Amino acid sequence: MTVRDEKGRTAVSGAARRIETGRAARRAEPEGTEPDARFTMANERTFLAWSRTSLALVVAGLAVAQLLPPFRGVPWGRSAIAAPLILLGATLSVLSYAEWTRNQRALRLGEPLARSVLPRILSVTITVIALLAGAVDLYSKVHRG
Amino acid sequence: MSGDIPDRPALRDNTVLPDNAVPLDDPVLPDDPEDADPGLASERTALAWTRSSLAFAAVGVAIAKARPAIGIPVLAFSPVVLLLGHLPRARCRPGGHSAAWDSPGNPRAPMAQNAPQDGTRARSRRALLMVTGITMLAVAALVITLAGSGASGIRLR
Repeated sequence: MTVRDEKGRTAVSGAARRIETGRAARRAEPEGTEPDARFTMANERTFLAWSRTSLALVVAGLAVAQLLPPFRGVPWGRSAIAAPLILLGATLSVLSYAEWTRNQRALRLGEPLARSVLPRILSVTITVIALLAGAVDLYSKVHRG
Repeated sequence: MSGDIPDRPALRDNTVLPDNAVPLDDPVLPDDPEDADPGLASERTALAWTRSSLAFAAVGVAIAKARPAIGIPVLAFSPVVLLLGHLPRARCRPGGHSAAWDSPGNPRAPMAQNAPQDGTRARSRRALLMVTGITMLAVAALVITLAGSGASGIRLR
């Protein structure tokens, strides 16, 4: 993106310069050195395992919404259980990519790997969803009685 | 007894090893077989991609039975994932720089030296494609779930 001043000179605008700098940074070689192939592949397998977990969560949410019989007296019950599962799946997928990138960078630079937050997010959210599902089920039974 | 054949390797208890024995501290034969050939790690990674592809296929078939408009794209993503895992495998394989792999005793070491050095960006693109596929599926699932809560909403069955 070029701009022309009153004397007819052209100059690259600040935004265009920033975009070009970003592109150049992306084009540049990744920093550090190529790590041992086994570490790279282990990192990739971990990412894939998290991706499959994400996929399973999305499918579990879809199954809850579509296959579970409706809770009596709680019309929003299935959606309330399914939506967090699906959102958790999407979030884990994105976070696993971020973690893969961070670990790959650490491997290239020879730095220690950071502790993963994904297991904590997964366990806490699943516990909350399980409690919610139990509460909805109990409420449904009480409402029926 | 070990004094009879001085050029053979001997253990601490002076037991003479057979002619074809290799000392345990030989750098060509490390403790872990994977140190000798990162191909095992490569194979496990390819299998992980295959499992991911199968997961997409299973989900795609399950959804396509009731709602082909959503299920078929998911099913179509399955061979893409399979290809992502297997096509770059040959390039990735010699990319590492383990001491055992680069050792002169490794018959494939010359291949390793001539191999492309950096597949990080390619791996990043593959991972990003995978994340995009899952996120798109999640968005579709969320729309189905929220729009399907009413009596006239979207139902997969």
